This record gives sequence, structure tokens and C-alpha cells, in this order.
Amino acid sequence: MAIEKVSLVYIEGSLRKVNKTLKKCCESGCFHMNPPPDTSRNELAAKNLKDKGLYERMIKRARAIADNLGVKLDEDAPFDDIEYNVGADFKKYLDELDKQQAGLYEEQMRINSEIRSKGAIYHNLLGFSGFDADFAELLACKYLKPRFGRIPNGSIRKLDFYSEKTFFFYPFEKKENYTWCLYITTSAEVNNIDFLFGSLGFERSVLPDYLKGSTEEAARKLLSDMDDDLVKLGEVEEKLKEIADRESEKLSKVYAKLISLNSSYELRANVTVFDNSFHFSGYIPSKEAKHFTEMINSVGDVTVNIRDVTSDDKAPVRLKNNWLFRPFEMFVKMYGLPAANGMDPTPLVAITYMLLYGMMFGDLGQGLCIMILGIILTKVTKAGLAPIIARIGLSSALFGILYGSVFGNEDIIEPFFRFPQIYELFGYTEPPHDVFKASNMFLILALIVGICLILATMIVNIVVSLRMGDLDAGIFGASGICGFVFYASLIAGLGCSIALGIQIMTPVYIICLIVLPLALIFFKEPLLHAMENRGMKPVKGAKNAGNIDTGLKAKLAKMQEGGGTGEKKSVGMFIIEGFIDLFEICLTYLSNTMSYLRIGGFVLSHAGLMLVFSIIADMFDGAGSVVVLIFGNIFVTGFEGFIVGIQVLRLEFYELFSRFFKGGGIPFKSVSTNTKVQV
Amino acid sequence: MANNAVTAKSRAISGKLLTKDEYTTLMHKPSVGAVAAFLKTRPLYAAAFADTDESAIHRAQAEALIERSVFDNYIRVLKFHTGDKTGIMSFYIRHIETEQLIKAVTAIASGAQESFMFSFPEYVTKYICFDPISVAEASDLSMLALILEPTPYKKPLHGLLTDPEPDLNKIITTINVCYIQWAFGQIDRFARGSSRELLKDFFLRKTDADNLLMCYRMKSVFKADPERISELLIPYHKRLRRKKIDEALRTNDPVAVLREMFVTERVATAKVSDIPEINVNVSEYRYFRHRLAVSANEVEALYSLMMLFKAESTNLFRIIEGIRYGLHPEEMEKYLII
Repeated sequence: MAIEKVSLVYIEGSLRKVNKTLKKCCESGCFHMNPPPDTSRNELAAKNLKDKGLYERMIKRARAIADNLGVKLDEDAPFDDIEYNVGADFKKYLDELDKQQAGLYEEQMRINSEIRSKGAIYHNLLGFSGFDADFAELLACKYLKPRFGRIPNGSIRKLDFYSEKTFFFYPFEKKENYTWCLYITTSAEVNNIDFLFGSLGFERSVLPDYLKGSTEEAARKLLSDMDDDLVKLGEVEEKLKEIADRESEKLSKVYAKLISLNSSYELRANVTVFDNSFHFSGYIPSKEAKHFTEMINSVGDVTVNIRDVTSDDKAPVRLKNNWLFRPFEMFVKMYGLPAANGMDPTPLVAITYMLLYGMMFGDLGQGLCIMILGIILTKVTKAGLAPIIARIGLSSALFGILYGSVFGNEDIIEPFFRFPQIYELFGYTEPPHDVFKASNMFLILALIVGICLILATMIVNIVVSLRMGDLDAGIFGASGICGFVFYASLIAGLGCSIALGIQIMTPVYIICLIVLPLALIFFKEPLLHAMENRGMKPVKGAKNAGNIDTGLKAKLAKMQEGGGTGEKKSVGMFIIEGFIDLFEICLTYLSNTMSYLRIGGFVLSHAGLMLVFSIIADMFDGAGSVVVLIFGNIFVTGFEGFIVGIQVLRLEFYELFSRFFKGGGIPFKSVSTNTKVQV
Repeated sequence: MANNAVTAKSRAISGKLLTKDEYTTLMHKPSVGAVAAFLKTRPLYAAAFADTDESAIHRAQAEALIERSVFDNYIRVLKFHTGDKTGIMSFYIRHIETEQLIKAVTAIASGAQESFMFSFPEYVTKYICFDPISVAEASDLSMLALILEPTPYKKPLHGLLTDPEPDLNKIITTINVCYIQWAFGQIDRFARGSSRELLKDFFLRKTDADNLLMCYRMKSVFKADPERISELLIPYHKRLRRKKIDEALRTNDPVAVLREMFVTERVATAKVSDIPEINVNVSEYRYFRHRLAVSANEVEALYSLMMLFKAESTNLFRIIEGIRYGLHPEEMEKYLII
């Protein structure tokens, strides 16, 4: 259960060396850089070093050129053979390239625009089909003003109202909402009539004066012109493609190098400058301290100061687990990173996830299939879930051996519940024939597993909370010492009397091990105050006995900030809230325990599903039976395997994590020159 | 079955109304064309805006298309009704008819028949009881009385329209009263029990709000005297009795008292703005959103949906207006009904 130990690093030195130092930090691959301190209000001349992105402009330019040429840039292209090192070199290259392509690109845009414009006119002309006069003659009229366009269908009837006005209206093609039309008015009345039609929603299509002949003739001419334009466009595009083919590789490399250089410049935002010296801080894994110091010292004129992390530092968190548990870090990160001084729950998650999955979906054949699928996916994809699939497949196969289930067949391997030592222990007089006959055994086992897991996580919580000085959660919380004693005693008492017939729940037992822990939880606030010598009165916000996040330290800090002081509540209110909290805690214990019954439930549902397909297969002969069995196994593996995966994750997050997990960790991110920077 | 269909469809459509985030996006649009382009992508407006040319569309056109969308969606839901309540279900058509008739009266009285014709939504012509072109051709109100003779408006309006000195406010009030009387008649005919009371409440709530807002505006903006204001009140109420309004109008500081009454008379339960009208609108919006969620009655559901549509179209008009006059999005947001 490891969170990698980190050390705090302060680096300072001559401003001349800042770039080299940052480069070394990036190269080390293990440096997490801190954001700069706020220099806006300090009285010294310190400031944050954030250069105007030297390479940003050139990156944008490279992208623009690539867009023009249709070149796809690769940020990860290797650029070792690019000898440009200063801004001027890059600028010269981009200038030359720009010179070659700019004129051609503009020509390409112009022709495209021309084609689009002619296309739009052509599209509009189609609406005026049936117009057999000459456009050129009509548009050239001196005293008559023609207006081509379209008008909402609803407005056509309204034109009757304006029949006295000076215009002629000619409708052409009628569409669903609009009618293409022409109205002609006199030059004297044109403003009034344009206003009238504008108010009625008329949209004018401005036709160019080069249109000649009727609609059909003009449309034909437009099409012919567009064909000519397309030929010209093809020639220009061919020239651009030549440049693209010649330069695409180099441009991509130049771009990748610019991105890389710009990234290290981005890091300068975290550097503080005072006079001629720079200063920045960060974290490194403690084991890398010596190597890192040597690397930075090699720059010269730079001082590295490394010290251990204190509890006040907001140190980043890097999880460190072995190959078996590492894939399960994904689930932990989904929930949240543990606090730097907390505990990495990955191993616990890994073990319980594999254990619970295997128990709920135990089948040798299907488990091996899932494992093989996981291994293949791990090889061909980088999906984080793939290695988890391989591991839970193996667990499923192992439990399949225990359950004696091979692709749903329980006759090949003798299941564990048919061993006399086992079934007699659970009160059976003869071996259960199948899983359904042993259903009680599975449900009892599920409860036992659940209780063990709850107790285990309570112990983890007690250890972690006490280590962090959180007495509230560690002693008085629902998962603290009091909660543990109460729950364990109650289970032990009930278990002994029901299963073994031994009555250990004597009055002394009940008072000392059940009532007393509950009373301590009830009075935890006054007790906590007493322990801190802060008086006996409970303060507002002192409930949530089950919430382990509201630790004593947090509460005291809140009180010191004035968040809780001064708001004393009545004894009656304190008692009511206390009882409600206790009731909620007891209910939570019950529901959490019962929640584990699903383990047994899924064992039964798996057997049930396979039984269904087995019965269907028996209805067929020969190949039909095999097909049904294959389909059934694929269906059950996919459907139930998926659901069990989700259910186990739910158990992990809701029943286990909620008892001990303290999140809020900051991820450890090593700075690197490959950092993707959005420009 | 029909009951459930209209209710379910109303709720389904309400799920497609614009969200707060979408309003924020719209408020940051640079032009009316950009708003139209955005609305083209929204399911409730896509059909009406489908053929629009975003580079040419202007404010009035966009607003007309929004109103058209609202109407089309109403008709869409109405098609799911197969029962015998067609009368009361056509409340929205009757509402538009009332609005248009009021517009026609004011246009004719001020000689602006052309503006009435421009803005008239042609698509409702086949649903309403008068011909808009004939109405727009009326040169005065007595001619309008003749045109309205074959309609149900003949009896209540004839005398008022043919009066040598017609009282415009009284005519408008009478048209509004006609609408409420029609609605109550339909409710009595088709609704029973608590549903009947609730549906009447819908109308009376609006009457309370309209009356109080009108009093507040007339007093704070036009400094009108109590008698004049009293003539303009719609003679229906839920909580806001005429006597209370009269008393408020006769106090030393009637504007402050009326402002207070928005809260005490529960006309505006929301307090989101200093502008009473916004508070009233937001209160109504929240009330009808709640009613649509819980109601099992098809008329209630459809009415609530239309009220939500009305709020949405008002928001869109305000955003379009804001964009047109270069208002900052934060400023526009103050006037939104959310």
C-alpha cells in the first residue's frame, strides 16, 4: 500500500541559466513543478517569469501554412535532424515556404469563391425557371426596376391588400415555405415598394449584370463558366500538392521542434525572478534525489536544496505498486487520489476486486476465456481495463475450479460444497446436488465475506486515521474503534447464539461491548472537546458521526476560523441529532452487511442462466445443441461478466472506500518537453 | 388514451425548450442571422427556419418565424387530441384571434392598417373568424363593426365600434373579456371538479397579473388618475379584488403600494429583478413548468406548455432586440424569463 515518498526541491541560480535548468528538469523525467508564489502583492521586486511565447507565433504560422497545403502535422515527429535552434532560423524557413505557397493559396481561394458565388446564382436561377425574357435587357431598364427573389408563401395573399400600389408581381416556382418571384416597379416608386416587400419578408437575389438570355440560357452559361473555373482550380491545386509533397515531412519536424521548444518556455511561467536570479520549486521522488541533484548541478551556477516533505506541504501523489496490482490504480484514480499522508488503497482494491469477482462469477471455462481476451486486449490496445480483465478472468477460473463449474457444466469437477466437511458444517445431511440446493450455504458465506471485509476496512480506517491524527474518525467514527467494537461484538454475539447456540450476550457483554461504544459515539463531540480542553458543550456542525472526513483537526480549524464557535445548540437538539445519527449508523451497518448478499445472489444467477441455456440445448440435437451452448456461454460471459464487474466496483466504492478513503491528493506530473501546449 | 397522448407530447416538447446554456450561447451571437443559424439547429425551430437565408434575415422576420414555430408546435400537439374537448383545446387560436383583433382595432383607430397587414400571421387565417384583408381594408371602426357582423364579436362590440366617439380602451377591455368568457364557457362545458377550478385559475391568475401590471404602468409612467385606470381593468379576479386596487390607487404613494401588492397578492412570487414585469413573468414561468410536470389533465398540460412557449418566445425577442442594439449579454440576461 504505497504512495511513493517525495522530497521538496528548491532550485535557484543565475537568470542566464534558467533555460538550461528547466531543460534538465524536463530531461530528468521525475520533476513535478510547483506553481509560482503570488508575487502581485509582495513588496520586493520579485516577479513571475512568463515570456511572451517566443515560438507561439511561429507555431500558429506553421499550422496556417500546413492548413493551406493540406498537410497533416505530427506533434510527435522526430526532429533530431532539424538544425534550426534560434527563432530566426525557423522564421527564415517559414518565410520561404510562405512565399512559395501564399500566392497559389490566394488564387485557390479566389477561384473557390468564384465557383461558390456562381453556384449560388445558379441555384437561385433554378427558382426562376419559366422566365423567358432576356435578363440583360430587363436588368438594363432605366425606368423600370426589376427585383428577383423569394417571398414567404403567407405574404402572397397579403399582396391583394396592396393592389393599388405601383408594382407588377410574377410568381415562379412555389416551394414549401417560399415562392420564387419577380416584382417590377418604377424607379420613382422603388424605395416604397422595396420597403413594402421587405416588410412582407421578401428576400432579394441580387443577380449579376453579366447574365444574358432566358433562365435556361443564363444557367447554361453559368455551368460552362464553372467548368472553366474548375479546370483552373485543378491546376492551382496540383502546384500546391507539389509543394506539400516536397515539404510535408520537414514542416512536420519543424512544427514538432517548435512545440517542444515552446513547452519548455511554458514552464517559465512557474519561475520567480528576483534581480538577476531565478527561483522555482517542485517535488521529486526521494530515491531520485542524488541523481537529480547531479543533473542540475551540471548546469553550473545553480543551487539545489532538497528537504523532506512536512505535513503542511501539499505534496503530489504518485502511486507505486507491483505489476499485479498496478492496473487497479485506475479504479482508485476514478474515485480520487489518496491524500499525500494517507494510504494507497490499490492493493486492497486489487485483492478484493479479484476475490469478489471470482466469487460472483466463478467458472473455469468462461474465466479462462475472459483471461485470454484480457491478455489479447493488453497486447493490441492500451486500454487500462485490459490487464484488469486478464486478472479477474484468472480469478474467475480459480473460483470455477472451487465451484466445479466449466462452461456451466458442474459434473466435470467435484465442487467444494459436495465435500462432507463443508456441507456438514452448514447443516446439510447429504451433499447438495447443485448450487441451488446449496443456496443457503452461499448466502451465509457471502455474509461472512462481507462482514470480514467491513471489519478489515474498519481496521484500515483506524490505522490511517490515527496515523493522521484524526481522533474523530479513528476513535469515535462509525468506522473507528467504537464502531469496530460495536459491530464486531454484535456480529460475534449474534453469530454465536444463532450458529453455535452459545449465548455470550450477557448483560455485562451488552453494556460493555455494545451500549458503551454507542454511547461514546453519541457523546463524541463533548468528549472530543474535553480531550482538547475546549469545554463540554457541543458545537453546531458536530454531527456526521459516520463521516470520517470531518476529522477533529478539520473541525478545530473550522472553529478557529469562526465557522463553528458561538453557535451553541440546546441539549434537546443535541440529543435528537445524536439519536438520529446513531440510528443512521446502525442502519448503515445493517445495509452494508446485507449489501454483500449480492455475492451469493450472483453465484445463483450464474448457475441459473447456464441452466436455462443447458435446457434449451437439450431441446436440440447435434450441431444445434452445440450452437446454443456456445451462444449461451458467449452471452453469459458478456452479459453477466459485465454486470458483475460493475457490481464489484460498486461494492468497492460504496462499501469499502467510504469507510477509510481520504482523497484530495494532487497527481504527480513530471514536466517534460513533450508536454502538449495549446497555442 | 388521447388524454395521455397530449400530456405526454406536451412534456416531450417541453424537454426541447431552450436551456439556460443555450440562451447564454444565443446572447453571445453577433447578429440576428447568427441567432437564426442557431435556431435552425434546434428541434422546435428547425422546420420554420429551414429555408431562411441567415445573411439576409432581419429582426421582424426572425420574430415572425419564432411565432410561427410556436404555432406549428401547438398544432402538432393538438393533432394528438382525439377526444371531445376540441373547443377548449383551441384556446391558443382564440388567444391569437384576440391579439390580432386588438391590433386591428388600434391600427384602424390610428390609420395604420398597413402595419397590421405586415405583421399579421397569415398562417392563422384559416383558423380565425374574420378575414384579415377585409379587416385591414376597413377605413374606420364602424366599418370594422360591419365586417365583424357574421362573427361572435358582433354582440359585444357593435355598439362600441359604431359609437361616434369610440372609446378604444373600453373596446380592448371588451375583447379581452370576450376571450375570458369564451374560455370559461368552454371550461364549464368540458371540465369537471378540481380540473375546472384549476383551469379557471389559470385565466384568473393572468387577469390578476395583467390588471396589476397595467395599474402599475399607468400610474408610474402615465400618472393616470384612478377613475381612468379603473375603466381599463378586466372585470375578473382571483385574489386581486377591484376594491383593493381602488384603495391602493387612492393612497398617498400608490406606486409603492402597487409595487408591494405584487408580493402581498402573490402575483409575483419570484424576486429575480427590480422590474415587476420580469418577476411576474418568471413566477408564471415557474408555476406553469411545475403544472406541466405534475398535471394529468391534457388541457392543463397543453395550456402550461403554451405558457412556457410564450416565455421562451419573449426571451428570444428580447435577445434579438438586445443583439440588434448591441446590448452586453449580462444586461440581456436581466430581462430573461428563466
